[in-house]
Amino acid sequence: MLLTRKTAGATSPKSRISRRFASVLGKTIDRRTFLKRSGLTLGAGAVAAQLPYAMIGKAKAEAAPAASGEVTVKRTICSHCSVGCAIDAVVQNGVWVRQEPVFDSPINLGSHCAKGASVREHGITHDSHRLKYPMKLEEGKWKKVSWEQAYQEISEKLVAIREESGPDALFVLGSSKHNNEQSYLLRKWIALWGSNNVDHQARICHSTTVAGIANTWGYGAMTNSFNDEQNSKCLFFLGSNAAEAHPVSMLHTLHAKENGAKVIVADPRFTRTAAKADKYVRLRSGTDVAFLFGLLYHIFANGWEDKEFIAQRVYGMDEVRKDVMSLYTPAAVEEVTGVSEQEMFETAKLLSDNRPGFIIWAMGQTQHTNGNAVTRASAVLMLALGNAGRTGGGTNIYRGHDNVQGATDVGPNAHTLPGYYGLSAGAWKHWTGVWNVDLDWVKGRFTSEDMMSKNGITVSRWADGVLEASENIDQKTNLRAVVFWGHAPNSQTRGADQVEAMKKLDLMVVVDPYPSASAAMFAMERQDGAYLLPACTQFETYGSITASNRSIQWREQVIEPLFDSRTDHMIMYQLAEKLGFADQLLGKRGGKQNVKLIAGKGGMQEPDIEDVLREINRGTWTIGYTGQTPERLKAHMRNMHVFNARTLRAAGGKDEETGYDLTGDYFGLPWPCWGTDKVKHPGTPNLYDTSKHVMDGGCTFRARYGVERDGVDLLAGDGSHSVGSEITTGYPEFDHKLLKKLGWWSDLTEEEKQQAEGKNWKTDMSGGIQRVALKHACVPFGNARARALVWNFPDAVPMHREPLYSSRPDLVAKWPTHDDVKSLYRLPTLFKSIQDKSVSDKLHEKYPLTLTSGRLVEYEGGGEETRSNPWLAELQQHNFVELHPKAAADRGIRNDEYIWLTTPIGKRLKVKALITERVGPDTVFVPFHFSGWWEGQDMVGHYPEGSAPIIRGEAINTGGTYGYDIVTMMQETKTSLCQVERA
Amino acid sequence: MSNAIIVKRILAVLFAASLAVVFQTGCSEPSQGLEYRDGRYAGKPDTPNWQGDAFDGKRNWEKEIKRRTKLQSEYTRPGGA
Amino acid sequence: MARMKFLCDAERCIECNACVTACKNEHEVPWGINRRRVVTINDGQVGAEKSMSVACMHCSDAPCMAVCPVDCFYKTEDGVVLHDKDLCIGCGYCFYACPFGAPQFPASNASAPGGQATDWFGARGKMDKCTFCAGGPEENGSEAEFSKYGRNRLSEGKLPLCAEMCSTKALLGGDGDVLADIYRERVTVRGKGAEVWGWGTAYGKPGQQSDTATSDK
Repeated sequence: MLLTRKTAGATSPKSRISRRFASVLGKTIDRRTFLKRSGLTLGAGAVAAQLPYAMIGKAKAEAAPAASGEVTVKRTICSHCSVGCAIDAVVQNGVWVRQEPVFDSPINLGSHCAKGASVREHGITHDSHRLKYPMKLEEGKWKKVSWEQAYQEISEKLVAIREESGPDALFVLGSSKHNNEQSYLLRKWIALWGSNNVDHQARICHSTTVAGIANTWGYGAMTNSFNDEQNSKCLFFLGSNAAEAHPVSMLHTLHAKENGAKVIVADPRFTRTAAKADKYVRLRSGTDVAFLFGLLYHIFANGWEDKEFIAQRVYGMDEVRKDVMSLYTPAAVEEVTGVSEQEMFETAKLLSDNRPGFIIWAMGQTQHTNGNAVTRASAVLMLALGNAGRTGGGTNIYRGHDNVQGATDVGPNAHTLPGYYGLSAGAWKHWTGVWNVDLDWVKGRFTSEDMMSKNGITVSRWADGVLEASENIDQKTNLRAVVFWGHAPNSQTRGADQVEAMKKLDLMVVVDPYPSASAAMFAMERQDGAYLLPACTQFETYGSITASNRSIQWREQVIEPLFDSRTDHMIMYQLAEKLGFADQLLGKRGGKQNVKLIAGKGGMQEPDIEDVLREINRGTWTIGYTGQTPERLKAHMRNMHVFNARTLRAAGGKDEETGYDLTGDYFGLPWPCWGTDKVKHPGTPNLYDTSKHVMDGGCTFRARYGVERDGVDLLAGDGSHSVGSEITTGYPEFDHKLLKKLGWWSDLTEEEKQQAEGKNWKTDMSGGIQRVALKHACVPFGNARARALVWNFPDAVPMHREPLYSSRPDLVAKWPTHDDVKSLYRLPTLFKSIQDKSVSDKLHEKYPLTLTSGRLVEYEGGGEETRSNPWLAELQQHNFVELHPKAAADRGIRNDEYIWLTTPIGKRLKVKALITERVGPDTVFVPFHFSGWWEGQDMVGHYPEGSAPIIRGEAINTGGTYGYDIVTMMQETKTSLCQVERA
Repeated sequence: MSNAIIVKRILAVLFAASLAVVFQTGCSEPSQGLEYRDGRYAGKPDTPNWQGDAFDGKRNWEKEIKRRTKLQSEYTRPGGA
Repeated sequence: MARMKFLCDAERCIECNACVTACKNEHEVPWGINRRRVVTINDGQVGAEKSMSVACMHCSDAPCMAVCPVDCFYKTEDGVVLHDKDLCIGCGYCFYACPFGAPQFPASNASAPGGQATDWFGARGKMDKCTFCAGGPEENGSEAEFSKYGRNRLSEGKLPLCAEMCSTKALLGGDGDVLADIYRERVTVRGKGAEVWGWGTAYGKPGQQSDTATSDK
């Protein structure tokens, strides 16, 4: 155990007493001590009195059952992040009494982080800060109303708005915390309402990843798994603080490190992840493309690239090489990123010497105006090193919320119907067919047919949908009604503008287990016009969710919905009843009904979740959500112990309950799980891995962009194919024509032929085309080259562009941002005009500190849920800004003092100063999980009584600035400007 | 050497020795060792953890504890290493 | 069977606080008391930051037990150091003696079910500390044991929840022999061999040292 510092230098005080006083003596302080001191003042009084010891006794008294009763164990998945840690919930008499680790899970092996270790708090009913019953804002106060009244008034208002302004006047902020079935139903719900104005957290999380990576090689998801890191030689974190955002993933990372893998962390901050690195590189915030291409410079200059891999499986690397060698020279890279040539060379050498390797990222890469370019540059780096499409190497993209992957795959996105089918006429035809809904009827629901194929407004710009001049918005009118359905407001930038928008809204509805900051922000300015509907948490319902590694896990219901809450799908159905499309939601037409109703809480009807999953199985051919039936998933959850923790594969095993044979399956049947369940495809644990047979999880790069471009072949080179493939060269995606050409059409059954005629692998509802392709060991989506050059993007070769609010006007001149866009996702989107104004207004002088925000391990997302959990809230009681000693000393700021943080939009935020050398002298860091204060004022009075989170603080995004990615409308929250001064 | 000095020396040594004895025994410090009498634990009364119906004996309980401790290492999982 | 022990592998601890909240969850410890805490040294210092989870170490020669004026401590057969809250007078002497800061004293009166103020957390505060999830002198698994000391996992054949839930399996808790085996395996894989415990590792010169920052392994 290595406890003491090894280098000579400033000595750390040895005795306990002197360590305690170290901070007073002006040295930097660690976060624990900082918070311990501030914690004692709060903990003693109000809260301690509320929390009696033996809570079990009290809970039992309320539930009034006998002291001893039947004990059952339900298996569920933590609802916080996308690692997907399994939990065994012990329930006695309907009360959730204990929580046990699931050592059997191949993903987390029993481990949890602080959040996972505290989920049982969701089932505690006394002193709960949950939203307990429907509420309505009347005269500035939240009053309890009945569900009936709430539904009645909400639907009346919505119908009125629809008649006056059309269906696009509604915007629904959907959720990454809904399970797959709920998020799928929500996408259907808004389509049946008649709009594409629905979106979810993925927009502000990994939208740039999905777009960038999908356009590079086919799917925009994590290529391998956390477990597969154990097979890697090099783990390169650029834009990920996994130790705080995905703690349990570090189990696999550190295991790999222990076994010789090198860990490299590049980050403007010396994060807790960096503390475990073999090599840490500090770079300037917002310069990732320059950094990545700076590494490529050394790789190309020294001939370290994998020439054979590039020749066989990559398109466009020559153009990339040209740009890299001419624009991203060591001198230029040092000027932009602040990283010396020596460090760049060493990092590049480390990457090259240790293959296979991963590049790992989260928001650090995605949340920029050129996020789409950053993620592509990461993929290009992996392609150049030959690190893509193999075990131990690839782009390990760490998704955020527990089901953001699933919600992105099949749920509420503004730019596509489920399964990334898009919004074309063909997509609508496909899905209305699956939904058993009349396409013409749906067309009639929209304002016009071309609104059906138009991307909706995004979650990141809903406020502009309300505030922007109506003639500039690409829809009939402004937004008049907004539903926050499982989405926080304070994770989005420009909180001040959101409040302005709330002032103008006709209607706001919040559907959430907690009132959320939306309730407080609205009540701060308005007297009426809002409703709060209590949804229950994911522990009070059941369904499937998709982890970051594409494995799908099934949650069992732990307890009945608490208080007066209802499941989200019950609320969707009941609202649909009031709004007139309940039958369509269930697919009830022509004597058929896709989704039956079953009795939910209190005997009320709700859609059957298993039926919804079966509908998803029937329709989602693009990403292979077809093989993961409820039966197979449940069998996996019951038999987690048979899955190998390194390969995720089951060597054998039979499910006792159903007799299902688990042999060969990969845990959770990671998509694509091709064909129907009859094909019994085992899932694809590592994408694009040609070293395996497709029926063993092997895969190629997707053929999506045609066969050739400008005479250059886009399909894979001769000899490059997945093991056993009958076609040993590149091939396009499978459709009926290709099957006929190959002479494989006769392999289809008569029934399959009927449905497959005129269709392709994505639209053939029989699954025959996929089945036959698999039979011949071919991958249904083709065998193509990955594109290092994405010609359909504004920057075909990724390009460094300075952030809109940059601290370096000299670099803005050399690497300016994009031109303004007249209409993107229905709204004008500014780039150059903002950046130019920032330079001309000399903002870098008034706001000289680069502001970056990020995560804490104790909280998640907007934070209202986790800050209402006393076990977590106690650990982080104040929002703070990490300030370098020089920056603090220059401003006369003491540690643990309140300071005002001001941003270019004129907001003043009150946070505590934490003096630390984690950040450089010109950068500051603020966590984004806090809300409940507004410019120094506690908003507790604006929450419903008893439902404000225990810990409230300033939301950094209240002062967040403008900035959006040019392809996906991702927000630029990782790089902005600010100033701090003593309070 | 005179007798007086010898006696003084002897007394000094005796005194030092007695002090040493006193300091060694401490100030009625309770015993830290596990107390056993007749092969059974005889410390403060508290039901031993291995008692009860769940384990049918101390050996079985110890085996279960050892098995469970091993779960804290991912190397013991097939494929964990 | 060996004594029960904790071991926290500082190479793996990422300060995620799972151990802290797992303990609060299992024993429903009130706000203000944390039986387990994570300590980070050299916070934010490049190449030097290390974290470790600390609670009662259940010492073989426990200073708390040695100094308690009312002799409320005792050691179980498994080597777990427990105390009797009914005897505790809350003098705080054990807090002085403990080198790890394990004894905790609540800041205010927290009431038990039924509403009456209890002696478990009196005005000065009965000492509370990590019990290695082994409860206390009350009957194993009883209501009284749970409300005073928390859950008794050991009597269920389980181990401390903090160690079982550690995100990176840094914190190990259980049979000392098995822990030593687990740790030895890791250490061997890391390639430090016999030097892991040596003076050179702890205090020696750069180059003799750890796997972080300047490794040329």
